[in-house]
Amino acid sequence: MAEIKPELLQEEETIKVADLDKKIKILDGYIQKVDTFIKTTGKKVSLLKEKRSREMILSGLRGGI
Amino acid sequence: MTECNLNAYNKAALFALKSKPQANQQPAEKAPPKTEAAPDWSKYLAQVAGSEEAGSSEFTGLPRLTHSYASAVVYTQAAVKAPAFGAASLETWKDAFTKALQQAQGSPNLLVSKYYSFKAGALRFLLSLAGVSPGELEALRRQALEDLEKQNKLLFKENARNYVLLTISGGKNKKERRIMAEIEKQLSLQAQRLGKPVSQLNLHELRLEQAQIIRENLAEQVGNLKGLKELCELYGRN
Repeated sequence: MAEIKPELLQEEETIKVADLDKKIKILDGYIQKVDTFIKTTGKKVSLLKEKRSREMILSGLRGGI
Repeated sequence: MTECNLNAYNKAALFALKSKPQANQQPAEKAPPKTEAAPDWSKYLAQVAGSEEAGSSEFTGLPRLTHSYASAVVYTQAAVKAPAFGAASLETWKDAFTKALQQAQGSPNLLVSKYYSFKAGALRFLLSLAGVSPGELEALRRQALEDLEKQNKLLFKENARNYVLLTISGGKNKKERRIMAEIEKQLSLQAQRLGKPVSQLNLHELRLEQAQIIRENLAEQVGNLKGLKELCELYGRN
């Protein structure tokens, strides 16, 4: 069984604030992208809903006439 | 069991009368103890012949047969008895039946779908032959289709999640997009076959839902990292 070197343990424990900042920036970038995706998809969904409701009303009117 | 009516009794009576031993001959086997005196069958034979000519199937005044005369009826019962199958083979057949049903409904390939529908029909016949009731078969079919529907919904969600992740990670690879579109097409076909078609609106709603979940996860991770960073700054570890 191989022994774990103390240097490696030390390396795992050290956390650099610069790395954390980098990670946070990357994740923030992803969040912004997801936000834009949500915005565009939300627009698409609202358009499709509007279209569907318009079709429903029109078909109802045609049936009534 | 179904032969145990008046006609069966009459047939058994005729059979017993024809095969009745002569008065001077000894019976081959010892007769079982009789509970009542043997009826005079010649009287009833004439009645049966008369009613058959008249076209009616009901006879009156026939005495109830004792078990010694009902051996012909028992023989009929043994002939229609279902073949015995083991419990293990029944279970495997049931599993195969549900799988075949799922493949028949879910496969996008027409030939595969037809093959599995034929297989499902054959297995249904075998199961009914083995004594599985039609109600149980119907329950199995419903369960199989429900499972397939659940699986279909799950795959739709997974596909929508993958689509969102590919979009936000800047996936411009046309091949990946094509694969995603193909999966979506197959899932839509499956949903249509199950009787619950998925529209474009449903697809966009699913993507929106998955995007919100991904956003929440990312925000949670960012929060965790910010907390860690604050701790590091507080304790001066650099």
